[in-house]
Amino acid sequence: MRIAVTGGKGGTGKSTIATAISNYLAENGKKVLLLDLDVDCPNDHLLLGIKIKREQAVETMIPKFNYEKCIKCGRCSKVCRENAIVFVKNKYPFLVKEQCIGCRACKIACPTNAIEEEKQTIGWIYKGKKDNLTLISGRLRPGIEESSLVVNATKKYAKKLEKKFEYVIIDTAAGTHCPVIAALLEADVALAVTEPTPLAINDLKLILNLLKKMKLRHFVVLNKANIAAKREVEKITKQSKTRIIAEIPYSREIIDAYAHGRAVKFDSLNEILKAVE
Amino acid sequence: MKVAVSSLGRELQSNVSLVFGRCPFFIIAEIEGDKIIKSEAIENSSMNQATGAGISAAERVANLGVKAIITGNIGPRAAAVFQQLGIEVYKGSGTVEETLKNFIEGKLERML
Repeated sequence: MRIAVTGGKGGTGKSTIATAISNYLAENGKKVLLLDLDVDCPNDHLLLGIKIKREQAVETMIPKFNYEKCIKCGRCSKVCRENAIVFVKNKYPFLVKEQCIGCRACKIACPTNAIEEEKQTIGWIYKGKKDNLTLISGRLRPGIEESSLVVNATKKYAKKLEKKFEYVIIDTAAGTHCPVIAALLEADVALAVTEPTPLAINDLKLILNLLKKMKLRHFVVLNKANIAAKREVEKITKQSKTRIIAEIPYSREIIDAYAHGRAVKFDSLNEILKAVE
Repeated sequence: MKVAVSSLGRELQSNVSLVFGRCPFFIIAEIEGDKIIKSEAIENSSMNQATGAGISAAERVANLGVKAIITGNIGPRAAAVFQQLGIEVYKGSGTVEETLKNFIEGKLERML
């Protein structure tokens, strides 16, 4: 079973809850694979106190111009939707590497085969283990624009190992953009983690809308439930025809575990798992 | 020589923009000797681009044949484009007209 943990706003507790669920299942004898797909700043290993090791680099193709064959026509630049190839009349085109997503459109468009291939490292995949829990984290190389490429590469790497596990928990980035969508694809169920604040409620609307569009079964988890009134969250949840399956209090005990790099424990973990099954 | 100034408005009296890639206008000025003989404002169509605004704005002004850029600041990617193309970048402030005058008199600090 693949459970994705998402939520829109940053800081609502996505990673805290993804690691808590993973830890709870593992402690109850289940074999769990946790995928940290918040590749811009993966930190589930810190929350769990697991040491991770770099397993492999994520590479993409980048064009290498052969200026002996180039006729300065500018077609490579014209077809590049990422604005990664700069072309100025009567000069040779050149690449701004960090923008390139390796789509090869330039290579296809070049009429004189002046584009060869090179590789660039856009991120890395890390792995770590604690008893029944295996953690795989993707990490984007700083400065690279398109993080969904690293999300997809990490998922592909994990897919080969998935058979050995009963549960795959997917921790997504904040937001509703490409890297979040890439992480959510192929999940069986998604948990939208939110808190009763105006910003989180606004972002909850966005993520629920996305989950509906993706036709992905989903529930709401209300974190820090006691810091403000929850009427708005209830309203939005009802409007999008789902329900709040757990309310987690803002408590000393949770903050304490969080501050010391231990997996968080709370009463409603079992309710979450019962609801998603 | 042709120079491009990142500008907040269309006029020579407009202020120089503090940013390059996402400034609203470029004033393209033709300088001969110590005089501005022609100037025109163009809209920066890259201004609201999600990513790579600096790169495409740089590409566009380079295609107009400018030899120098005057701007408040410039991002690393637009700077890399100008560096590669051998186009000089100068730091400007105040109105476009004042900063062009200072440029002609060689008083502007060169950033690239």
